[in-house]
This record gives sequence, C-alpha cells and structure tokens, in this order.
Amino acid sequence: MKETIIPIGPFHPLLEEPELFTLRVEGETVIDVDVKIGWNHRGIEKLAQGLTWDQVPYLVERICGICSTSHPYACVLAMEDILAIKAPLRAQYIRSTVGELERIHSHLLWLGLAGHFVGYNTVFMWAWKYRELVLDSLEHLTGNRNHYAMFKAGGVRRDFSQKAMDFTLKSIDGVEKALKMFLGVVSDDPVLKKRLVGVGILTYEDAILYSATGPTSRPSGVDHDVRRDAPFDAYDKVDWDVIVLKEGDVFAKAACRILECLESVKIIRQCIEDMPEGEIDAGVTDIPPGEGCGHYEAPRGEVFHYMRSDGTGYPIRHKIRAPTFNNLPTFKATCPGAHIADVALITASIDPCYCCTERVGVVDNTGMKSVLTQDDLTKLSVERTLAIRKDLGKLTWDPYSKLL
Amino acid sequence: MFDKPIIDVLKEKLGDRIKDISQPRERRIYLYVDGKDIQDAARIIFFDMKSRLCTATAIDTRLGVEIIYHFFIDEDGMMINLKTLAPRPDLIIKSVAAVFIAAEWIEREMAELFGVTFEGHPDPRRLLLADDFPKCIYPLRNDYPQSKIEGFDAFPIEAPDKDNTNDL
Repeated sequence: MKETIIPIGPFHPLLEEPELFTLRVEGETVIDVDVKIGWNHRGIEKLAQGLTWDQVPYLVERICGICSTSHPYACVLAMEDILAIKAPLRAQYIRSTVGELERIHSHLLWLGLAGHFVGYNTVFMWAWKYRELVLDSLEHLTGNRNHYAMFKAGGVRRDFSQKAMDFTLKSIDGVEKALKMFLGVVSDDPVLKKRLVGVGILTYEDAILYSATGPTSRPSGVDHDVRRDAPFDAYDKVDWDVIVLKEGDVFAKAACRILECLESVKIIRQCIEDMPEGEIDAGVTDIPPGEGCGHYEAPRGEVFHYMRSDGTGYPIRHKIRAPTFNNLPTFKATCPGAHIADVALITASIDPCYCCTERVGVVDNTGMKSVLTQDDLTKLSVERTLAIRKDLGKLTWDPYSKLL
Repeated sequence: MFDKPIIDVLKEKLGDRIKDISQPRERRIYLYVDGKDIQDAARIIFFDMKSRLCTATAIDTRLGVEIIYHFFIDEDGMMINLKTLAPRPDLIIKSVAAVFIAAEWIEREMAELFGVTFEGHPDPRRLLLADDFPKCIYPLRNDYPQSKIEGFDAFPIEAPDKDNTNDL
C-alpha cells in the first residue's frame, strides 16, 4: 500500500506548546512517528544564570502555566540540597498542600480536554466546573489562581489563614464527590471503554527503556513515585498510596489520573487538618559553593532540577528537565499500529501540554498536499466514538449533529 | 534492593574505572569516570542496577564540557550522578544514547547547545534550535556572544507598506 506522511502541528492558538508530529501512515494505520519540538525554546536555563538565587524560583514558575508550582518546588529542593537543610515543619505542610491542589486542577483540566477529544463534551464542562473550586481554594490560600509565588529556599513566602484552610476543606469535599462520579462514568460507560481500552499501549519494557515518568509510566506497571521513593516535606508524614495499573493503554492512563486526584484529596485533607504551628521560613541568606539536585513529582511526571553554585549570588548552571521531555519520545513506541483517529487520543494521553493539532497537512508521496484542521482531527475521533455507540445500540438520538 | 550500601555496589561493579566517588548527602552519590568508560558505566548503572535516567546536564568548564548523567534508583530512592568530561578542543565523547534510547533527546540537546559531538548517536539532528540558527555558535557556552549574532535575525519584521499605513 502507498505510504503517506501526515505532519501534525506545530502551532495551535489555544495550546501552549507547539510540537510537530510527522506520522507515516499506510491507509489509516500509523507505521512510524517523528516528533519535533523547539518552537517554544525560551532559553530559561541561560536566563537563570543571570538571576540571583532569590529570583530564580520566580523565573522557573513561568516555565509552565499549569504546573507552576512543580518547577519552583524542584528548584528550591535543589537549593536546599546544596544547603543540606530542610524547611520548617509548617512550611513543609504548606508546600505539599499547594503541590497537591495543583495536581488536582491539572488532572481535571486534562480530563476535560480528553472528554472533548472523544466527543464527550459534558465531561469537559463538568471537569472544568469542579476545577474552578480548586482554583478558588488556591486563590484563598495563596492569593493567586495560578503562579502562586509561594516557594523560596528554606520555606514559603506566605502563611495560610485559618479561614482559607476551612474554605479549602469544604471545597475539596465537593471535588471528591465529583471525582468519584467521574470514576464511575469512566469505568461504567461501555462506549468509553470500547473507545479507550487497548488504544496506545505503552508496555512495561518500553516505559523503562524510555525512562518515562508519572501518569505515563505508572499505568504501565512501573511502580515509582518520587514523593514516596525519596520522601520530602509532608509526604512521608501523611497516609497515601501510589496508583500503579497494569494495562498501559489510554483508559488506564485516564483511570490513573482520576485515582491520583483522590489520593491528592486525601493528602490535602490530612495536611490541613494536621497543620502544625510555627515558623514558615528558615531564613536562608546565601547559598554555599556546591551542587544539588531536586526533583518533584509534577502532575505529568518527575520534574528535575540541577543547580551548581560557586558561592556567589548567581547559579553558575541551572539544568531543568520537564516530564514531557521524557514522555514525548514514547510515541515512537505507542503510535505505530494505531488508527489515525486514535493519534489525537494517544498524544493527549500523556498530557503533553496539549497536542497541538491545529494544522494537519496530509502529504502523499507525489507531493500533493491537503490540510486538515484541529476540528477535522477532533471530528475523526468523535465519528469513531459515534460509530461505537451505534454498534452498541446506545444511540437513540444524535448528540453530535452540531459538532459534525 | 541491594544488601549493602549502593556506594559499595558501585565500587565493586565499576572497579578502577571510578576516578572519584563521594556521597555528600544521604540520597546523592557523585562519581567520575573517564570518557572512554562512559558507555560501560552507564550500561551497568541503567541495566544492572535497574535505575532510570532522569536527564543529563552539561556544564562549560575551563578543561572542556563536563557532562553529568543523573540516574535515579526508584526502589532505594538514590540518585547517582555519573560525571565525565568531553575534553577541549574537539569535545568528542562516546554516546550513551547508543546504549539506551532514553538518552537520545538529551544528547541531541547538549550537542546543539554546547557543541559536544556524541560518537555513535543514532539520530544526531537538532532538537531545540531553529533550523536557520548559525552553526558553530553554542548558546549555553560561556563564550556565547551577548550581542546580536551576525547574519541571524530571530524575529524578522517586515517594514509596513507605506500606502496602507492610513488603514491602521
């Protein structure tokens, strides 16, 4: 059969990271995929070398709008590794609370968009509705819905007020109820099951070989989580579990994320209820010469920071590695053999700050070119769900007539 | 997973290939090997000791580009930092990506940002920099020009058409 090359990307006005996927397809089956990144390379590592130790956490907070706590978290852990100190107890609990609230809002955002990709726009609306509760809690606790600016080497910058903590406890009760509902929806719906089970399987061996992290590798049976393996802050003082599943397909990845949110709810509740009194800042003034690594389990996987100090006011090297950097190459293992309509799902399943599928050109070997848009690709995916619904006899009316 | 401290396991498995080893903090081990032994050392730490490659860091120093591969053993919560040096002036070193694929992207990144040549890399293309970024200029090196680079305009802006300026 004639081989066709389909480029997906790189630009999409709604999504923050441009990436270009070049698919080689035979008929409608993908046989190879190549990923190109770099459109959004902002030289943060170079910028960090020109900033003082106090300014660097503010800079790395701007790397990502969704996980804007994970980068400063890993960064201050690296600084504390050089200093060989720990933050005061109350600051540790505050840090873990902010980190887990962020995990819930990131996973809910993903769940909503994944629902949109398979054509379940109700999931999209509901997930984002409950995400607002989490963002409101963060605003009450830290002063901002995003970019909280809470972290500094040796502690946090602001304290939680009792009123804000009460508000958070109340709102995560609502979030927990919604999460349990989503879990029921995902595990009971036969259409969703047929659409997601067995799609884009990442095997245990591939997850190990590509060193994939977070909710990309844990559903493949890789039992690791930085928060448990190298415990820091409040994570070894509260009771929670690491979610590990076996299947490695898109369904398992979705289930893993929702289950993880429920664990996060557990952590937040314990952190706020056991919040100790006391100092929130160890009073770090300067960083001695040396080198340190810090890593934190961000919503998408492990964030890694390496810093080296020569005793001056500036880091001489600051290496940053975001989880998507390790997770994106796994497409080479998951996409071959998949249907084109599933590629949007597979790319979405690792949550790569959203698979930029705005401009899709179909190029065949003679050089002819036709262009698909983001809507076309979503439509392909929605049509597939529709066909499954019809097969199962679930479709009594056509809810997607407007979409199609 | 191991019945003795990981630092002793490393000493036993790598033998006299280790030039320097230390454990400054409970969960951090730093070891230094020569450039010719990097593939062997990486293979032993990744496959035999069942670790995961976090990433690699390159640092421009006076002697050459220092490269640190960060491995993390999940079961023991131990981070092993494997250091080596790509010596000046040619900055050539053996590729770890030839041993396992997890190092592929990070070596491509180090190659374009520091000018290190990784011998035996399976896919030595550019990863992050623009296709028209000038060759032989490496942004993260200390000798990177802080002023504008001759012959490269990152944001080409076309002058507005004079006839249409009134429409704005």
